[in-house]
Amino acid sequence: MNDELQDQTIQLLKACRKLEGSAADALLNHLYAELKAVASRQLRGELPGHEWQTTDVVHEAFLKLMDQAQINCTDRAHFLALSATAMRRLLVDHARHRNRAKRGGDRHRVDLLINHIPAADTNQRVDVIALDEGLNTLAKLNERQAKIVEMRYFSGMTIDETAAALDVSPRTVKGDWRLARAWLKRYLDETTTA
Amino acid sequence: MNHERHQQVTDLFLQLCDLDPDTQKNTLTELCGDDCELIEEVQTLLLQDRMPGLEDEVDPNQSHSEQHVEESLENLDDRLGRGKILAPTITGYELTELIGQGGVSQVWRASDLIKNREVAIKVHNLTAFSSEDALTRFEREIKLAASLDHPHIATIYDSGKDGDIYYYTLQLIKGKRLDIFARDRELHDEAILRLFSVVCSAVAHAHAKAIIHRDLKPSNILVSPKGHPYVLDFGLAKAMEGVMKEASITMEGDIIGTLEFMAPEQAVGEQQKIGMATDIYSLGLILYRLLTKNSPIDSSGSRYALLKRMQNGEISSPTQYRDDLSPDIVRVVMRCLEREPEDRYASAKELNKDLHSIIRGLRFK
Repeated sequence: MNDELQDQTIQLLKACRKLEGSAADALLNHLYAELKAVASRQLRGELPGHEWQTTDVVHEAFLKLMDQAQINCTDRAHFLALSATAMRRLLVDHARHRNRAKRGGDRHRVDLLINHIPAADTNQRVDVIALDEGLNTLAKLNERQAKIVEMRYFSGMTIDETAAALDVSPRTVKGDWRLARAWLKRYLDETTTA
Repeated sequence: MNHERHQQVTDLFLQLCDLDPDTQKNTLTELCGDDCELIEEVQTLLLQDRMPGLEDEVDPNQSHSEQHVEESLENLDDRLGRGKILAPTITGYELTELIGQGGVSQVWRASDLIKNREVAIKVHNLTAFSSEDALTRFEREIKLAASLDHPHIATIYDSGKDGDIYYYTLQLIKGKRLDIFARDRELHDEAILRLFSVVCSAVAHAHAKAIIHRDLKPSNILVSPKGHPYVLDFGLAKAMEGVMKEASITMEGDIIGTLEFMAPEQAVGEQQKIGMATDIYSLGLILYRLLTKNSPIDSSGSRYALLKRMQNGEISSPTQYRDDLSPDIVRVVMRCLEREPEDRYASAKELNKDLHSIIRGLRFK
């Protein structure tokens, strides 16, 4: 992230804290654009022609972005939370784009590799679009639970970071997290095996 | 379902999730009375809670939870009055038990009704997204692999197509994965090298016929209770690649799982460099793992970071985990793991020659 961008990010964060109108939206759009740019730069420059690596490159881009934005602790939590939403949007857009580009036939999966470790079993990989749909449904029942999943999965936030960002106790996050996972597993089972 | 109802479900779930399944059931009935719908809802969630999936951290006790899964799955099936995963129908075979599952394939135990023998049958649902041409090539690869005749390569018996399903049958091996076998039997170095050398002879046989495996990993090598190893899935990687490429399917699902055992040229997609030395690299990784129970490449961080490390050849010596290994063994392992294919052993036969001389040396020590 260059200096100008970093200044901009920090300005937006400050505005967010003061709850100035649509500052959070602005920051979200800003992060989304930046994530997208970094991701496509990396894909172009380093490993051409490997589309299957996109999700990981995005993760990588995101981590870089996070390291370089020097922000203090509460800002960091807020920043992470918004980035999680931006990440989610980016990955879902990417997956939808891939499906549109393919036209007709079965839609193919774009997977989210949850713990960022090469997984031997399929349990750690989740269809991004199905997860997104599940999260939208869950959000209608309990917004916080959906938000927690988003933060844990899409930006790899810890329980404590998630708790700080949502201003609730880690215990609450753990409980909601556990319920939400069970709920989503059932949702994914029902939608993917049907 | 509305907010209040969902909150009620959440509360019940959290109240019960740490109890054992029987207590959960009883308490739930006490708490909900005759609200069957609520009981059903909470029960399915509790069941999901016990099953693996969507983990955000690697569970070191995976095998423990795996035991529960099978039980849970049976319970779920019973409760929902649902059968197990439906076996596809393939003329001439009776599919009895699902023994493995991959991205686009399943492996079933089956009876060959004509030849009256037990086989393993691998079914692929490829036709949905492939042309006739791709399938013909797939079939050709499988036929080529079927021409391999070696006591330590699982024999391919037959292949064919039934409706949308492409299948091939192979020798049913009742055994354990190579790494699990070595771990369970607590094999010492000499036994590991002997077993591994047999695997090498199988790979050498295929190399002599210019057939490259391309996906050697512990899960593709099964060891029978008597200690005979069998290499599975020769040629399959190439066969699949053709079909996948044509269908422009994301390789994600199939690459992620095996990245750990891939050679650098494979991981970064330098197709033209893939050859026998690619198998040698994978063999080196397997031997490394058997001897040290560790991986030579730091797999922390993102997959992208791992790819970069592979590309840069950032490999740690096995001595980092085992300072008692003989320098000869270390040399063999590291030569397999050279970043450039031309710096590795040129074939499995050459690798096996070195292994044999090490084994002889160990015996006369």
